[in-house]
Amino acid sequence: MNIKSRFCQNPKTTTLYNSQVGALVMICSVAYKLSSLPSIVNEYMASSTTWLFVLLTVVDTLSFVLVYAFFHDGGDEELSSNKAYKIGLIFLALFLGFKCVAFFSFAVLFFTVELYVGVPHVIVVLILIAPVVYLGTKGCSTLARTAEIFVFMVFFVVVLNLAFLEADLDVNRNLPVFSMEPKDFFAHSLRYGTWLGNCFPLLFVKVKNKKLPYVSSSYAVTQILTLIVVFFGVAMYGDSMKIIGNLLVEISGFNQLSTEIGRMEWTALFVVIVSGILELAFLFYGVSECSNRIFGCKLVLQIALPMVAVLSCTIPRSPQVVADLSHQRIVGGVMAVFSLILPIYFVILKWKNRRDYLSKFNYVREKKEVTK
Amino acid sequence: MVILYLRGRKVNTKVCPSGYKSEVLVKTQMVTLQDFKNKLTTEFHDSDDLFFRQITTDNVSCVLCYLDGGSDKQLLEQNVIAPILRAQSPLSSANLSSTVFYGEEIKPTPLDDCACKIAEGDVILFFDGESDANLLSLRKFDKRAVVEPPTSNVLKGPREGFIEEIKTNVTLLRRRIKSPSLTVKNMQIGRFSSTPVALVYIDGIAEAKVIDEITRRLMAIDIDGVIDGAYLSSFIQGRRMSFFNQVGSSEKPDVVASKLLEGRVAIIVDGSPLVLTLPFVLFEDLQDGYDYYSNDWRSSMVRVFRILGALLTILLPGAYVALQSHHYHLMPLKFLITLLSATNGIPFPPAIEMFFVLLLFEILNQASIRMPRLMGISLSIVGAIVLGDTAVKAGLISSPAVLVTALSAIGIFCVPDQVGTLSILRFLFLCCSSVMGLFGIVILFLILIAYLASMDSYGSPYLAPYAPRITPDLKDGVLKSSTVNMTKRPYSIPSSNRNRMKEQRPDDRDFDNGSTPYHTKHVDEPENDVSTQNDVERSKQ
Repeated sequence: MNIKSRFCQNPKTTTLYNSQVGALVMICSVAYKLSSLPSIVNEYMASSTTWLFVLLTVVDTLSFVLVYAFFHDGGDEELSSNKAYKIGLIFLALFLGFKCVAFFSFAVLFFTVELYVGVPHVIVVLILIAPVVYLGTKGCSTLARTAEIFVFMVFFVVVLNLAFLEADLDVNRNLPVFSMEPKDFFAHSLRYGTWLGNCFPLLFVKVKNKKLPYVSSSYAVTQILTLIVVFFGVAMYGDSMKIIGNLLVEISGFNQLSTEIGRMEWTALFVVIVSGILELAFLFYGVSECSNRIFGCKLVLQIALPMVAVLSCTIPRSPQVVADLSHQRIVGGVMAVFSLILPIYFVILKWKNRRDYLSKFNYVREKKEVTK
Repeated sequence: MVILYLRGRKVNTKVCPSGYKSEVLVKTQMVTLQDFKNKLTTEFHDSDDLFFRQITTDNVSCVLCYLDGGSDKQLLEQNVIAPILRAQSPLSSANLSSTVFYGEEIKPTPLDDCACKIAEGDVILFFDGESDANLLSLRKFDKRAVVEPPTSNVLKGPREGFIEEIKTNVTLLRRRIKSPSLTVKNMQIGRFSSTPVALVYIDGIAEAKVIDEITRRLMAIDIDGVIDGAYLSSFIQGRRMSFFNQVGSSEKPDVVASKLLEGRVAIIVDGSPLVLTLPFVLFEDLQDGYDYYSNDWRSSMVRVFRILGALLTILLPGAYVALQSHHYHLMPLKFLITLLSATNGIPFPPAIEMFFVLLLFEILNQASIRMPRLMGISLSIVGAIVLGDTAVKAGLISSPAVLVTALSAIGIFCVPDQVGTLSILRFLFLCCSSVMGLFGIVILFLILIAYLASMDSYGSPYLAPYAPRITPDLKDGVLKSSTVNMTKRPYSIPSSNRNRMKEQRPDDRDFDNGSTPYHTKHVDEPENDVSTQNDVERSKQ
């Protein structure tokens, strides 16, 4: 069926350059991992915070490799009519949707604390949802181009803040490596599954390769940068990191340039706002693409998701309720499991679909030869 | 054939709405001079500038018809009327070419088209009893000299500028591109104005799909008149509601010629000194002809300054208001103390104050552009004194606000082609920052970049070569590389031939090493390059 409507279109796999995918990977992976997560992790993990981030990096890398294999091999075009794929997409939509709502509540909290002290949540929510929806509906190509413009600024600001860091660093605060039993460590680590699988919307794109390995190098740089920031954060704050709201902004406060050109927090604010909104928009895009493939219409979840995000931040007394929910052991555990199972499921589905196609092709060929 | 309703009656016309009577005459094969004159007089509604010159001798009976002031009377008398009067044998359309002195082939013109041709400035020669007339193009309109355009002054480089006359403009381009591949396609747009429009491109470089699409859009325009090229811009641009330029324009032939060589298409409109170019990318407005006539290092530096100027223009007033109203804790202490002492006692909040100063600046700017030159000087003095001195002394506005406005006002002219857009953006950022502070600025900036990233012009991404990043095109990006290194045409512009020049080897450029660089073939063309093969085949033909 050929659908010709502005909102309901046939599923289309966007083609991006690998440099654009690299930019998306970098800009959509730093915001919430470096702003909201460190203090939450530190609350339970204390000196093992860095090591938990290492664990999250390993798990995230595993799922990213699978996603990479999927989109590098032509995306999901061949699976568009596969029912099993659509079932997987329902879970993917739930996964991305929950991530989007949780991160949205973190963003609202951050803006309320850092920028709009005393302003009602509703106003911040309404201000924040507009750019997210606008960017998300623009599509992956626009998001990728926007990320290409901002990625260098984001990278430069983070590196600048680290390079001119002026603080009492004590790397021993990262020790002991395991401040708790390994069993407890791994059990607790399940809480943070919401922060995994940021790159899942890339399942809906195809990649056109340029010469250099932009995607892998960008992913590696992002993960290393994240670990360095967290390592420095623990070295600066130790166990008291749990009381800081936003690690990236707090780290940039201790800067040699602050006395000369003003407080450097604003540079980190810029990074957090830009990459935070782009990450939310990227998740929103992922959900709307799921909707397009499941219902044949983007509009269903494009309306539902913002409404859920707005209501979840306005109906409870504070967005903190949703934020707290995101790192409950059960919720986090389910998200962690999904972050690994979903890419495996999609890759197997693609492999099976291709094998079936080849066997059918061989069968037809053999039949033709017999007929001859 | 288009059926139009004009002044309450049904008329039947091809190009201009004047064919009602001619429909009757077309059916009559033999038309007398009086019928012809009556028909034209009716079609021109007894207009006083319609002239007839009837010639009746033993050998000829004809009438010349033209509009006063539109044709070259001297040429008409010397080359047309005099030979006709001296004709020794009976004269008709068949032997007209061998009698009059005329450079082009004289083609018979249907009587339906005569009125339109006369309106365009041509002379019609009609012989008694014939069914067709003869067209003599002896147009002569006053035109200004080719001078340096006031909007594109250069320190070094060509100083010629386009004028309002289309043929002169085409000639100016032909003087720079002396190749038969430079193709000019003429058309007329406008039901009443019948404005000549020329589509200019280099065959073999410009992409055929782009040419076809532009031609299609131009042919689809149905408007009463095209007074300037700007009329066409709104029809051929992608997004009509956007306040960003989506069509390039230049008054300089050297700039347009270089754009044609990159694979773009130019549109020249009669009556407009601005030549439109397509496809258009935003970065074009940050480039200037002078960049290519000066040192590459200097050009790169100047381009960085231009971008900084544009950013200062749109962000500075908003950032000032955001820092003063919402985030004063972000400023260094000494700077904050100085600012507070300078703004102490101002009766308005920073947003209102800045809005007021910017509004004053825009009003003064518009007034100074439109005022006679001598009065403009007095206006600028009054404006400077009122704004810069009296208002500050009176304590109505602060000196930092004036300083910020002045910086923003100067910066806007770093990118002269985007003055209108930057001015609108400046107010938008001011509004956002006054309500939402720094967050508003960042959000609006993000939305703006996303909006620009989603735009394209005839297959060219609007933010190219930065989003998407097209590495070879970065040679002519913010940091300009040497012309020697730009061996390929921009990839961001659709083109059927990417090769601009043969690649130069380092030793070829080094003339001091004693080697003769001319005897060797520099580089082998790639065998699978379709465009190169096409070029070779074309040259063989």
